[in-house]
Amino acid sequence: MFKKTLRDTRCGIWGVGSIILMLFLPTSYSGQTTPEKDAILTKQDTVISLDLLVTPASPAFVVLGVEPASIERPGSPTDLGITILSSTNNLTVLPRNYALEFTPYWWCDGTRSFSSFKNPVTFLRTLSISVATATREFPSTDSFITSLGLGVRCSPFRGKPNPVYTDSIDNILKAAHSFYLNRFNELEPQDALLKELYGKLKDPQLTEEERKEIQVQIGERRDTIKKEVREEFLVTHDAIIERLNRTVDMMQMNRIGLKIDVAGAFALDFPQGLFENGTFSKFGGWVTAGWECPKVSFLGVLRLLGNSLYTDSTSFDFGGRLIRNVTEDLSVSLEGLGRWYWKLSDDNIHSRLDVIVDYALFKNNALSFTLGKDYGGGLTEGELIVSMNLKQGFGSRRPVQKLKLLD
Amino acid sequence: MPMIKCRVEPHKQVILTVTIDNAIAISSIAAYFRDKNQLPYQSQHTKKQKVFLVKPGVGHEVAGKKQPMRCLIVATPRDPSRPITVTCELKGVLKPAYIPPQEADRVSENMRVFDQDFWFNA
Repeated sequence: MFKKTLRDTRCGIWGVGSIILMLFLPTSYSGQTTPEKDAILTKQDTVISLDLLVTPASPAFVVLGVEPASIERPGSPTDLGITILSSTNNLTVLPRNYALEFTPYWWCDGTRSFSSFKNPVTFLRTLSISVATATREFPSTDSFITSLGLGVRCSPFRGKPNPVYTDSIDNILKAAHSFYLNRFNELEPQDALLKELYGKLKDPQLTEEERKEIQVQIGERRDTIKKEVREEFLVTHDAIIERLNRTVDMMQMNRIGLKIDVAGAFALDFPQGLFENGTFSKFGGWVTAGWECPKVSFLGVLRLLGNSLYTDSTSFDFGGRLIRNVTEDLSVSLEGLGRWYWKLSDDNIHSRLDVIVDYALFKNNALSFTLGKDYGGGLTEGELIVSMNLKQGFGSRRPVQKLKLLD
Repeated sequence: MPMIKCRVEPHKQVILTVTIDNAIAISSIAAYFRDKNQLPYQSQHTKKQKVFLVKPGVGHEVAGKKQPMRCLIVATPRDPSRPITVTCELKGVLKPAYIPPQEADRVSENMRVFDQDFWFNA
């Protein structure tokens, strides 16, 4: 009993600590940039900061049977992601399931050409590796099993940029265009030097050389006024520039069309949390594919989950997920899956049905809430699924090479 | 952007063709002399290039204005790591025979401006 209490206390401290850490990280982690760091990065290369996290998804959670959504929505992984999952009957227990997900591509050599970055066919740069832990307790025997899952996921197809954002960009460009046009037209006629130079041009006694010289001076003076207008624009229209940056980011990442995710994972069980008792227990592979539209998306999954300890519990999952994007930050999904077990004694198809609410708290931070009916059995306790999942992505800056077209 | 000085053929229509590469979105073109009347233009955009055809007028008319023509375009690059290149071609002029492609000026990561003056002489 004491052991269990001590373990619970440790779990609780870690859980509370993690939640506090998660809440404060957005303002303190190293992925955030300071103006000095931005200046250095700007000098070195073009750096694009993206909001990459679409929805929480760690394949290692799936093989452990504690995933908040059984059909993961293909997204763009950040350099490093942490997931804290609280999955209990009534959300009264502190989170005990954690996942770490990272993308080696952006760690090895972060600088890539943008043309390869925006290519819809991707493999290496979306390849992510995840590690997850889950604890299953057996109160009647005062025992527990800690499971460790390792997963791999990649997105060979992630769709095309959403054209909805083009209109917004057009309007921003028109506003900027209008300012450049009108402000110059206001300043140019008032400029004393230009008035004088245009006056000189009317002199019929001018030689060809003098006329050319005056034209050059007029050109230089107009260039100076244009430069002043550009500097004024940067000061007075910083909100428009920021809005354009955000819209372009959204256009790049909010993709529509065909999306395909391929994932695989395996799990090791450690009874009583002892390393020497570790055994290879589960493995799985699955394909998630679907079509994303601006407002509604549909995804389907085919998945094989094996169990090396109990071969008759090897299962085949199939199902679909309908996603309605309510706003840019909020989406609601209905998910339905069927599970067929390999064993001959059970020909029934077990079903899972749940509703998932995903919310982007802020950049690269997502919260999801799942409520529904599980297959039953496995690591989940009972038929009801109630889970809260918080995922934070670190490092979404994508440096791209400067390519000189003209010398 | 230094002014481009041109020598026109007096009785020929001057036509300026502006081709913009690596732009995912552009404002329309504004081409005008100091009287601020927008010059007529046609746009022939393709998936890869945005093209504007501007008709300033007949050679002796545009030379007689004795003032520069401004050509303004604001654009967003398709690939922010590369410059937006603008190629200008002039028909109905004796000089210059060729204008090298130019890079639009960088305002921000996602905004570039092409603001070029042309001066037509007889």
